[in-house]
Amino acid sequence: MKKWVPTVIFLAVAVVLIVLAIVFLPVSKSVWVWIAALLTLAIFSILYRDNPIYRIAEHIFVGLSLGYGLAMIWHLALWQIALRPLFVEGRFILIIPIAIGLLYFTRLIPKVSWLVRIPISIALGLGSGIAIPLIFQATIFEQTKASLVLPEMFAPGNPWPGIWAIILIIGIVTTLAYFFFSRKEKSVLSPVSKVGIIFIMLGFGATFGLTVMSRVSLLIGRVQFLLREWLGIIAQ
Amino acid sequence: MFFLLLPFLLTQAEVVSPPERSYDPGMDVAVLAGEVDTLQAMLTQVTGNQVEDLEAHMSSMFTRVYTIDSILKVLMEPEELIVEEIQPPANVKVEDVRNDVGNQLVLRWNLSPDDSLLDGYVLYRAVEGKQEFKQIQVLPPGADSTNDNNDLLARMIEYGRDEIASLRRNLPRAKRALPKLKQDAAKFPQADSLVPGIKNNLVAIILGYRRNTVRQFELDMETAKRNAERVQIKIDSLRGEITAEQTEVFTEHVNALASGMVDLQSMVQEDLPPGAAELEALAEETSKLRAKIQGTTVYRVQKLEADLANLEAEIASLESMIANIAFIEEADLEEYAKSRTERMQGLIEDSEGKLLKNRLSYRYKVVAVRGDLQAPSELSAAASPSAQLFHTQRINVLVAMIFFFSLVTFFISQAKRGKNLFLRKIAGLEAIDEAVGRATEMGRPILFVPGLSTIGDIATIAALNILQGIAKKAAQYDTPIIVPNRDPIVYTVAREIVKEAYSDAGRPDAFNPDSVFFITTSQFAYVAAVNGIMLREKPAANFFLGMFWAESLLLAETGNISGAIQIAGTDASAQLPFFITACDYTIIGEELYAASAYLSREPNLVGTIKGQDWGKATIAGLLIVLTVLAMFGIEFAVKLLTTV
Amino acid sequence: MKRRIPLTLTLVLGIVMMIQFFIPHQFSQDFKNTALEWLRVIGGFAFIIGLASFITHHYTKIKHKKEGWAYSPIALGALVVMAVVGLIGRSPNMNWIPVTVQGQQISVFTYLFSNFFTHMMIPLGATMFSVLAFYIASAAYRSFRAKSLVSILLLVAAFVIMLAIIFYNVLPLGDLGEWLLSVPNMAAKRGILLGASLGGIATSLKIILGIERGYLGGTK
Repeated sequence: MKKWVPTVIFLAVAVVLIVLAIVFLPVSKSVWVWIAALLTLAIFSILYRDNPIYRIAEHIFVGLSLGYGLAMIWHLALWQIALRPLFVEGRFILIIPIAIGLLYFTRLIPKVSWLVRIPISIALGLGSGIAIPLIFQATIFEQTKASLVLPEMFAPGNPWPGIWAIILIIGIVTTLAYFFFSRKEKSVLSPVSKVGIIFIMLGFGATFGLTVMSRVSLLIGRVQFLLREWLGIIAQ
Repeated sequence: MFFLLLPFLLTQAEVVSPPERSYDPGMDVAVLAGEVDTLQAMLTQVTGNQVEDLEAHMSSMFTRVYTIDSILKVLMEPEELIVEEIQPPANVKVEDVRNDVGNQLVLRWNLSPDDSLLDGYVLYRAVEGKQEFKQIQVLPPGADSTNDNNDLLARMIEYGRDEIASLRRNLPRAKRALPKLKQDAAKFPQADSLVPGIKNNLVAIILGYRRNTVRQFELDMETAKRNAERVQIKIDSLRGEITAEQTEVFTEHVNALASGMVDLQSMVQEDLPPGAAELEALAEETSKLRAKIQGTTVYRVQKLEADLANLEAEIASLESMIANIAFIEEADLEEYAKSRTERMQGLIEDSEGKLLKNRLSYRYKVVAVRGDLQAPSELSAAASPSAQLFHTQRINVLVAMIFFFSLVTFFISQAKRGKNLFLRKIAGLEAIDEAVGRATEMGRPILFVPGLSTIGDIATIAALNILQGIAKKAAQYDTPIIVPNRDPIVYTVAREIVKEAYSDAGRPDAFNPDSVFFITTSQFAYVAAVNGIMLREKPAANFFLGMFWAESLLLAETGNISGAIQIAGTDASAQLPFFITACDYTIIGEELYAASAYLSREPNLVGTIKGQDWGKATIAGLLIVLTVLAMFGIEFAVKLLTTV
Repeated sequence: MKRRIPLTLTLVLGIVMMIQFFIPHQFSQDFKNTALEWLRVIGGFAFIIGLASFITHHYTKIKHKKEGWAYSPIALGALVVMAVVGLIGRSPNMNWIPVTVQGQQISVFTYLFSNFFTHMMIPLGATMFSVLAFYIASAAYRSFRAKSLVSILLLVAAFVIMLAIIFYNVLPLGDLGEWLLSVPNMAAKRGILLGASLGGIATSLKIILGIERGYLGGTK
């Protein structure tokens, strides 16, 4: 079979379906809804296999999103917080970050291209410096504190919250043991880390199950769009 | 049983909200009607042991009836309570707020014994040694503490400055737009003279720089007219439903709602023994109530008529706005801008005068107020706000940082001294060679996705470290490598890494500058493109390392379909399950950060890993020890981990 | 110099920001706020580099008539159209070439920009996202054939949660599902988070101290 045959068949079926839809269904009369519907179908076509229709949609998507990003970066970042304050409000101090930002362009000039490391190292230095104490405070301290077992969890008649809290601690400690990199094959930590992997897998399973349900509702949303807004088969 | 209760629980929730000034009995009546319906429906299916539940519902409904009743009473005849004297609040204490930027004081006082009678408290402040007290805050009754700081004042100053700036900017524009606006307005019937009340409004709108003012008014007017028509139709259709009888019932209802409900209320007060007969009696009462409520069509008509009147007033005012534009002169704009600027200047100066300053000392008094009555408290002791140079509630973080850094430094020095530090096997990292090898054998490319986050994400850095090794092997074996990027900076770095890997391998010419590229910053557009690459180029080995979000499975499953060997790694625990199901090897959480040490075995890096291990041991130990302490009631255990 | 300047910058800024965390004083807060604002300004320029890469990538494709080069003009065209429409249409008080939409007069650029966004970008993204529903099904199917004990655990937990959600009022699985989420799931998440936090801190420290320098791009 020639390579283009499935595409042609797909297109032919699509055209027939569209004509049938226009004749028999209360389809949308908005050009934009049509565009949205066709793009939706084009993306779904990847479920069959890679094909020119998907490739067109993909390239439109990539181009549009980049154009959108450019417009947003200009309006919300470059103009809003850099160029307008500099040129309109006269905050000349902003020349410094703008100059540093412009160093990114040295990437395009081989001789001085190392200068691109300056904005990167500034961003990383600031980022790492801010991150270290913040991770200690917001993650390590907070998570440890939240995991402590407290006497009030053992209410008379209902000790379960306390028991689960103890199991939670066991889970955390054994999970930490699993990540112990200097543990040797036959050390005491090995069986402990095996318990850890049980917790990890049960936990991952729970996350998986929870996410499945929310993803299915996303699909339902798209199908509803096609049937309701576009074809008008189900009532608005 | 719970589900039967649900409608009641839902309606009960509304009782809690305090009655507002614009209390609308019509709304409550509608809610009541619903309740009565439910109740009656339930009555038809009563069985023996449901009676008790039902009674509870009845009584809760009557509580509600009572609430409505009492609210109506207040609305009809507000109680006149004559108060001649009020007691002041006492014991005003002022303190500096610690661990802050300064310019902030916290105040506490004992409520006035007459708190329930008060309109509220007014807070005054004076600089130590000066007599001039400035009003700082007004607080509702029941308030016994507050923070005095510059937040609100700073916002006022900013607001004032913004407005002055926008007036300055817009005045010339508005002047230029004025002739055009007048021209547009001329198409409408002219007013005889300028309506004084409208002028300032209109000038403010034009100065707010709306070039299309007239058009906007027209559109608003059209909308209002359309709405008015709809309301009229609704009124007409409702009027068709109203009978004389209904009007009567409605009037009766509004006037006698209270008394009708008091009847019901008295029935509750007589201790009802449980039994079907009593319940039926109650049901009869409620159905009477319902009959009254059904009369509310009249009430709805009255409300709609009020709406209609409002809409007509709105249309009239819009029309006169347009008509009055003809009378606005440039001088009006100028004058308004000038007076407004002056007012804002005044606001700014006033706010600046009230700013709290560090190192100055302040005294406060709190005045209880009811109508014209005022009862000032004693003056507080003086206090002065100050900024701190060290955050005392973060000492624990500092200690933890120093401890961890020492651990890391210690093990690095150990490793440098040549002590052999063992690292356990990490399957995902071991498999990298296998994956690269397979791609080479099959003569197909390697795909490397360095996550979707920025360079600021440490997971991205960890991924780029792994890229270094992979790119070097790819260069040695002459296997093409594809690195699509979502973040422009990550792209820049990834490109340098791959390029240098080729020159390290001694074949700088083999580097294809087009193999490392940027796609787009949009999450799903990026995924669409990478999926396309996987299906078309059919790479034999896929690496997904770094930070991932919902796209994790989209990428991994597409790669799976295309038949590649896949190695994924991230510390996003929500995405790990998907990588585990769809990839051959998964590098979980911290293993990703251990990669650079694991692959290079450089002592500096291996030492850090050892430090991390002891860090984890410390956390596990702390968890156990602190839990034991907490179980013995030692509060210090929890405090140790508390930061601000 | 090509390495020393960036490494010194990282070292100094990293240490300064760590110290800043412990100083509540105004000057310290002002410093942090300015630093973060500047960081945003600097970051804005990086986007242009990405743009340059994108354009070069597609231009080379067209020039050398590489496989699939015919699609590149589509991507470039979409980019140019959206950029022009967005740059003009998003400007405040934009009123060029007005069109009337639902009684409102707006610039044709604004009109196109908002429609390209809501009727092209949003459905494209949402559909891409919803493809996940199919993939998640095939992934779940694959784990049916789970071989090891640990993957069976994952599968069982996932099914308990799914059943608990679907048949929440039929099967008595709600409590078990709740327990799986609040005990083992929480334990695993916290364990991974605590480990990864230490890994993150260690990596940050290595970056500040210049031990980890892969981000400079290679080793030279």
